[in-house]
Amino acid sequence: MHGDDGKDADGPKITSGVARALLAPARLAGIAGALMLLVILALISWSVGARYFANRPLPWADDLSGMLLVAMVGLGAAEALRRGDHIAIDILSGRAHGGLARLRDAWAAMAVLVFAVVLGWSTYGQIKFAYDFEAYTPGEVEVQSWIPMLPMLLGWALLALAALGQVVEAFWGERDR
Amino acid sequence: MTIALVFAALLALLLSGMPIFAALGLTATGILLIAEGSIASVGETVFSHLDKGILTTIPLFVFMAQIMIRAKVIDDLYDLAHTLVGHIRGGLGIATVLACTIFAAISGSSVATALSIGASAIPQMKRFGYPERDALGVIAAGGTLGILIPPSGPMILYAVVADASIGGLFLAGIIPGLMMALFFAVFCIVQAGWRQGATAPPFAGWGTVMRAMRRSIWALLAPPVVMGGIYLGIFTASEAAAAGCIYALAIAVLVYRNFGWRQLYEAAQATMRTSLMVLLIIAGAAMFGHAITIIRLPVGVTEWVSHLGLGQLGFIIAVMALIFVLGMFLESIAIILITTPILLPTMIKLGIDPIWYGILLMINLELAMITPPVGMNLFVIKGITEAPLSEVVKGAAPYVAIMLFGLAILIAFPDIATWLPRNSGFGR
Repeated sequence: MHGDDGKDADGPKITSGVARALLAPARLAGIAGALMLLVILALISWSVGARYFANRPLPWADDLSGMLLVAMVGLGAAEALRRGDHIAIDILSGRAHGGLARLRDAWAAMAVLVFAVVLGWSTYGQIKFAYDFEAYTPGEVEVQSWIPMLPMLLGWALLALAALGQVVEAFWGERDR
Repeated sequence: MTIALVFAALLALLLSGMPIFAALGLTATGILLIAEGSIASVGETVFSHLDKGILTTIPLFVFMAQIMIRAKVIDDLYDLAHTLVGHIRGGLGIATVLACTIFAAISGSSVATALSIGASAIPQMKRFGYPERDALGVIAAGGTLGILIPPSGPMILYAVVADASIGGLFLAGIIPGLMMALFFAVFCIVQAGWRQGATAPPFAGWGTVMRAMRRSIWALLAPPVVMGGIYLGIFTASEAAAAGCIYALAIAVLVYRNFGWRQLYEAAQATMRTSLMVLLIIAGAAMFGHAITIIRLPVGVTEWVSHLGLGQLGFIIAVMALIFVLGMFLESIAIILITTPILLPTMIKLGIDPIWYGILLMINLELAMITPPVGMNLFVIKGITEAPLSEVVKGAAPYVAIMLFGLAILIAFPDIATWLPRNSGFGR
């Protein structure tokens, strides 16, 4: 697994100015993602309290918490990438040094970039379809179905930007290997 | 042939060092482009897999453990275990297993258990001359109890993928978890008999035990609050996790008085990032599951197994052997999310209880945590002790044998896992 090598408390050191700029939105979105977790906690706690203390269950709380979780994923995905949290199997690639290590990092970042672009493109298509046909979500929270998908689209865009930043850093950053 | 090609492609991408979620997603993209010529559906697939209220259980249990670790509530747990059993033969090892068992009922994570208990246990074990290799082994193995004793992140994931009852799985994990902890403790006693020279602290007296009990009572009450809420029908699983967070916050702020806004934000950040690691693998696995369903791969596996005429037992043994090998190379979450959708139709056809299988899977994933070359707990213990990895591996080796023995017992006697959920009204 990728360990913490080369990372400071705030994630791997980034030396390229372009990479830093591309990774900056991830940091901001990460803050919002952490706050989203607290919102989810507050919502579920409120739901329990309303059911037992006010005798007024909130039937929509479970559906809404799922939507908020999607928003947390959208907001946090790029930050987790920036901090190097995602698990990879490095039993072979972990032995690379110097130029080979740069190539490995660039390869991993490009894979994430393609992943994010594929999902971003597909999610955009789904949002456009849902918007054009004015589709609504099933379940207790009845909203136009493109609305809960929006944070996901934002997430894939941020992930693509962060991955691009890592590609730039892999090729043009100054790192000790 | 198709199965071999799909897995060869996935394995090649995984071994190339890219994140697991990307390897799953790109393999799925390749399959879909070849089979359908379109990837238009993947966005909707991923969204529908993540848009589930029950998945909030994962970050909320992580958050509860983060709060308890940061407020140092956990530190008192090892003190209690140490005071209770530290004086008997192999007592420091048993204390570690006991502390891991209690913390496992709070954390839901093997790595968090090994990390938190290891940090408290290692200095004590060093102080009393407990052999380093034995100490490393018992912490690595004790930590794995985190995914067998409820609540358990991997169990939640398996329940979501297999559409099994989370409450039922949690209940099913209790007896096997305690059984495994007992095996570990007995081994500590046996191991202590083999060695000479190690000392044990004297019994501290019941007064000290009671004081340690008073200090750790808040941590000890966390599992009943969370699990009791589920089993008494007061909370759903996600509500129980939220209640656990509120409980942890309350004792951190009101009792320990060392938890402010800064700690709250840091815990939320760490939780979000840990959870994202899991949730993005779910996203990649959702794409992979969708793609292999399109090419009817699970159906192919079912037909293939039917032709082999393995039967329940043969199938379970073959699958457990396969997962044991996969566990040496793959991360546990990936194993659950890759193998379950493929094997589930066959399990259903063979009449295998998904709860029983889930527990067998969890024990196998525990093994994956301490088997090289990729064993998360081995790396965690190496990280906190700076011991050579080879020493950690050697220390954990006897526990691999113990867990395989436990797995064999669970295969031979499914009731050990299924009796409790069956008699508590938790079906599939």
